[in-house]
Amino acid sequence: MRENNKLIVSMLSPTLIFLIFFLIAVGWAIYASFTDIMLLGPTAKSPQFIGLRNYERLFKDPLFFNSLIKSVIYTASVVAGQCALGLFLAVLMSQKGVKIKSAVAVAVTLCWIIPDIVKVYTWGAFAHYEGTLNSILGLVGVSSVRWFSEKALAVCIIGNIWGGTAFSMILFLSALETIPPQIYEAANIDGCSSWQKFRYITLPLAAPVILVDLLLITIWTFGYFTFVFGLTGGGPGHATEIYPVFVYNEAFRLYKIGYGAAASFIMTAIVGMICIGYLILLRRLERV
Amino acid sequence: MRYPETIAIHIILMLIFIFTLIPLSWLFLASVDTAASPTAGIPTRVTMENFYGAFSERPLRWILNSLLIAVSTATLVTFLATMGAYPFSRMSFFGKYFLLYGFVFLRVIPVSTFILPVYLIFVKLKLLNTHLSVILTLSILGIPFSLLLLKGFYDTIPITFEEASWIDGCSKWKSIFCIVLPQCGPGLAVAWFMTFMFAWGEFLIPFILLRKMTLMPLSVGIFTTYGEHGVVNYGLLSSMSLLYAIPPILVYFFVQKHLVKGMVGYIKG
Repeated sequence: MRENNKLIVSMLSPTLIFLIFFLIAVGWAIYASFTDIMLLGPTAKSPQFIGLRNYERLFKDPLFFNSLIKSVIYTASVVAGQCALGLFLAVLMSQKGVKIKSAVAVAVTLCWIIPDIVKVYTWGAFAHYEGTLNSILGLVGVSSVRWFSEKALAVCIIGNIWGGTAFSMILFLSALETIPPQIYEAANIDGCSSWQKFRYITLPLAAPVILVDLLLITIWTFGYFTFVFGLTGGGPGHATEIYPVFVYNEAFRLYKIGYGAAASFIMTAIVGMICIGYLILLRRLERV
Repeated sequence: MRYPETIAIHIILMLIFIFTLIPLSWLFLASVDTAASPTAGIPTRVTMENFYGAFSERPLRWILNSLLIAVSTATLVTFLATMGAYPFSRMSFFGKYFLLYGFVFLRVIPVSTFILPVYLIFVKLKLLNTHLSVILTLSILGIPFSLLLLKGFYDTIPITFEEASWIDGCSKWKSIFCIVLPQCGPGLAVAWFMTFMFAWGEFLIPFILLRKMTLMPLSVGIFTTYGEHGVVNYGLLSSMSLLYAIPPILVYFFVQKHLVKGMVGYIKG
């Protein structure tokens, strides 16, 4: 037993050192959120302890509420879009007699697998005023739109659906494979329509996986900084300032580190709440 | 499956296929066109000039930085996770499940919630503008995935092999090196490549921690080049982006099979 303990300690300690280092960082940031520390200026060197003042100010900040609303719109649309499109694609691709399954899977996956910043650049050029999107719309007779000044949030949402659907698709494809084909055969004999098969067989059997997918992409989309920041930087004005971009702007553009840290912990709390909410749902679903 | 329905499915899939590929084909066309603009078009003259540009001076530096960061992070994480996952798979100890769920949680929460803590501690340690700070941060964020993945791999290896070797007088460490590790070679490879891919593509962490042009990885480099001179050099940027996208694409199709398995296993576990 002694030997075992030694082994556990020696194998785990390197990883634990990393974790502890990380926890110290988090603890430090919690402390910073109770001070008026700035990146520059007089309070950078000697920050004052100001208690909950940062949190109070946050809840009076119209920009804070603006960013929360933008985040909710953004996350809800992206998650609904990715999940619905992913499920739609997976169901279509798992039908019998579909020939181009792997080609579509590769294309959709390519858009997902490329690094974030390449997505940003490619999508930015695609929706540029002189970009491909406007020239395609021009062919149909729609006049060019300045997407990034008029419909910035919508462009970000559609771009993220374009770049992220693959995750849901892959997940659902592997989930659909586990549904026994006999069920569908029985449904065929009973004369079910495709919609009925989807509604009463596929959907209930894939429900736990759908819920897990929703949980993961909700959390990731809520905290997905790079895409929106790279495309618009939160602008024009504050039109696309989703919550992570708001935190970044407060902390690193306006140098309000303490304030940003407070905002950052509210974000962690929100993510935690989303997690718990979904886990409760999942538990309930599995019990049925 | 009825005939008209199959046709309809094919048409829908074709449309989605084309729509998803249009932005990417623009990227490809623009990378060989020195006069590239956001408008998609067949380049009048196909050259490799943009790629020469991407392999010179600053962009080359960025590529090397990206490689350095990604390779060190992947190696460090694989090393730590190989050791760390073993007790989780084979032994029971105080706080095991607490730690395991901690790792799952750490894996799930987004990177952007960590930037401030990480930034503050590296300011204190005076490690801003060093590659070390980025490698350490990315390693912390990468460990949970690899550790859970490797635990899954260890779980599939029957402990009887090790027990037999212990009876033959093998030490614990030796049995791990000679019995367990050779059997989970694919697991180690997947862990290494997945971490490589994650560290290679990460933007936010190096963006916050590295503020010097010469230290940046390619992701931050592409971002800063984009708005630099007013006139955007789409040709050069596209070739840089394409080069940047190739390693993850290769890695993905290499580990694809294991990835789906790992993803599903991770959800069930």
